[in-house]
Amino acid sequence: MNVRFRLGLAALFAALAVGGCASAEDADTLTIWHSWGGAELRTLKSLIADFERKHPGIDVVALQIPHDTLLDKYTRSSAANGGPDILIGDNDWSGKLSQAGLVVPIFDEQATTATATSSSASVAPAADPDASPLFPLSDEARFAPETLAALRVGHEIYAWPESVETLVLYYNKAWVPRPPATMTALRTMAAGLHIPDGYALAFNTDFYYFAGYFFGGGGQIFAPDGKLDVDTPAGVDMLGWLAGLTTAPGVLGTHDYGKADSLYKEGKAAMIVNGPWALADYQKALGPDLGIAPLPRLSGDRPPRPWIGVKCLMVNSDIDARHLQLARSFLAFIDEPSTQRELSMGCGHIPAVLGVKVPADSPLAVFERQARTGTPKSADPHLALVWDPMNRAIQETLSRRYPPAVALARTQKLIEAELAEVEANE
Amino acid sequence: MIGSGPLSATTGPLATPVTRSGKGLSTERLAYAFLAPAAIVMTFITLYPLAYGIWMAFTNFNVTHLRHQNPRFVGLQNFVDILTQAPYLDLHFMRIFGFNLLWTVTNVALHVTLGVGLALLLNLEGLRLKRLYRAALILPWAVPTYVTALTWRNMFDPQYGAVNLLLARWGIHGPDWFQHFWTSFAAVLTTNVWLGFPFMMMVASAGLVAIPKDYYEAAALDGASRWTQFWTITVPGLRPTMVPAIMLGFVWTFNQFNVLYFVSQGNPLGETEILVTEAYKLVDPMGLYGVASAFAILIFFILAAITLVNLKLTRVLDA
Repeated sequence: MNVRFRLGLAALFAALAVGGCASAEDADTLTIWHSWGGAELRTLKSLIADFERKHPGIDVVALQIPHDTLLDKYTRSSAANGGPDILIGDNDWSGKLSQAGLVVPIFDEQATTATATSSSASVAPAADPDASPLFPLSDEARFAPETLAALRVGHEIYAWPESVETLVLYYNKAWVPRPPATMTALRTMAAGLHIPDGYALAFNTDFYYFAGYFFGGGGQIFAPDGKLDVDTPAGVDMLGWLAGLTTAPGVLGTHDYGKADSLYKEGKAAMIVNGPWALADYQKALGPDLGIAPLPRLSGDRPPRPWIGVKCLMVNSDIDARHLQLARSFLAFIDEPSTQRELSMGCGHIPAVLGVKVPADSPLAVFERQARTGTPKSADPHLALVWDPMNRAIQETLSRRYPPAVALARTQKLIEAELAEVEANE
Repeated sequence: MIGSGPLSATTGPLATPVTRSGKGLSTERLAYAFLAPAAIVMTFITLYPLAYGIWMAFTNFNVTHLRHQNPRFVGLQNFVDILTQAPYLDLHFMRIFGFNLLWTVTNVALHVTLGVGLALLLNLEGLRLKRLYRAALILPWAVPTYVTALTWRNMFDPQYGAVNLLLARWGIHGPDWFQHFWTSFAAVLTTNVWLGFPFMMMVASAGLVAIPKDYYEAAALDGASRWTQFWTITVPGLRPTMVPAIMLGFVWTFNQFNVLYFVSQGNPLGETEILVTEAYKLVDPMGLYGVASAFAILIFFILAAITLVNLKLTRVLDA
């Protein structure tokens, strides 16, 4: 082999090795993985610039990954001692990730830590990620109890709340001048509305969207004593109610989020049930015709109880003390009042911090009101086992494969078996 | 191996004898040195994950073992759970396997028929704009599977999909494609035939070029019809190129994840799930890595058995 070629090759390998080490060991680079797009991404970029200004010398690298693959990618990377310093995701991810030991506890539930003493943006002293939580227990007082309830896994919390999200009724004022207050009124209205090639209501039949009515009508997943209890008479009634709703005139029941979303944006659906993440897009698509209202109530004046989810930040358990400090600084920065206000105005996030209020005339106030009757979406990893069987029960009912009572009984048995297996191996 | 193979024995008395000493050894070392990078990479990216997966299949590896890997050895329990339909798995192995076979056989049969048919048309003497047709027909293969799958999914939308809108123009009320087994199967089959025929067409085109034209001329002189020529010259002539392609197509189609996962999404009610999509579900959301690995090993043995039978049958036919 030519000597010059060999030397060149050696130099290339050396450069690659040095470059790799430099990037892996860059002490002042904070890496964040997220799935934010559109207005959320613009706001995040602006906030990162603010953070870098306030913390000279710290470089924040944010990587956008599609939402449906983010959790899986983080799980695999972090388990292989890689991944980012911070993961921005949903609160129920924290249950699964904490079970796998891939994220650190946020609050010092045992109040034994001597390291974290302040909730300010100051950098905490070095800490062992396996042992020391990031913030003192007293910081929990900054958040609403239902927000914390949605984050708790056993006695611990592994996610730092950024914003709260729940579902409301979006309507198109061109078709619906006044939003219906009850589902009975909605169905009457839907039967009378004739939208060319369209529907009065595009209702997403995924359990996430249906759950508000399932719970509102008395259905439940876990009984107050913690036992699985989906197969109840009230649950069966609500599954039957859903079958009736999706076959009502003017109503489209679909399992396809993208389809329902597009129909509403194109003016081919007058109403849709959706969350705050869709607000910016709907404002852009419908302009002054966009209307937002609390979810219509069930008969007997029963309020729907939609899921309350929490967008949150989780910290990788496999990072060194320096990066743990940086992560803590960023988490504290995210929940500063000025940052929360920017997130609220920039991309319609409902502040998770109690002290920060959204203006009463803001569309976000409707979400806040709706959240008061909501059901915290628990971070308990066992809840992850419920989604697929419940969606299956919905499909079995809507396709008339089984009556609601049989579908729910089968679902109860399946989740029981899955829980037993998972618990036996824990 | 360089220097020690039959080549050195056939080079005649004038050739320098190659021994394990001196130049021969250094040549051998050089050969190993060239092979080493590939061997090291293959060990890490292929053999290690394979061995790791086999080990996982015999443990209760789940999401709690990802960081601190201390799963319990469970012997053949994962295999028994799959084959005996343990209640927590919610799957019927033999039913899924049956559908997997139906899916694979129908797809490969259509890929080959359509592929060979189009290759024959493109091979016609005097056909103009051949290159244009070939480029157009290979397009489905050039588009990423994921994009094709999502496009076809939208085309089969019951309310706004192109297929039902076209049917409506002819006065036919299109079905809700993914609500019934046979319509759902027809939809995924159409999508995968669209994706799969260009490969067979290209292989068949290459095979047709290799058949000497003299055979056809001689057969024509003997009065053989085109049909007879096809069965006695074209089919045997294509067999050496088509058999490996068919076996490859069989394995690809048997494990065709994208189409079933994105187009039918297993609907209705899991009736169009195949073994690999079911294995994926065991990992997400259930986190049962051990059971999923056992599932993958079962798929491997099934495919190995089918391939061996196929090879044997082909040899018998050739004989």
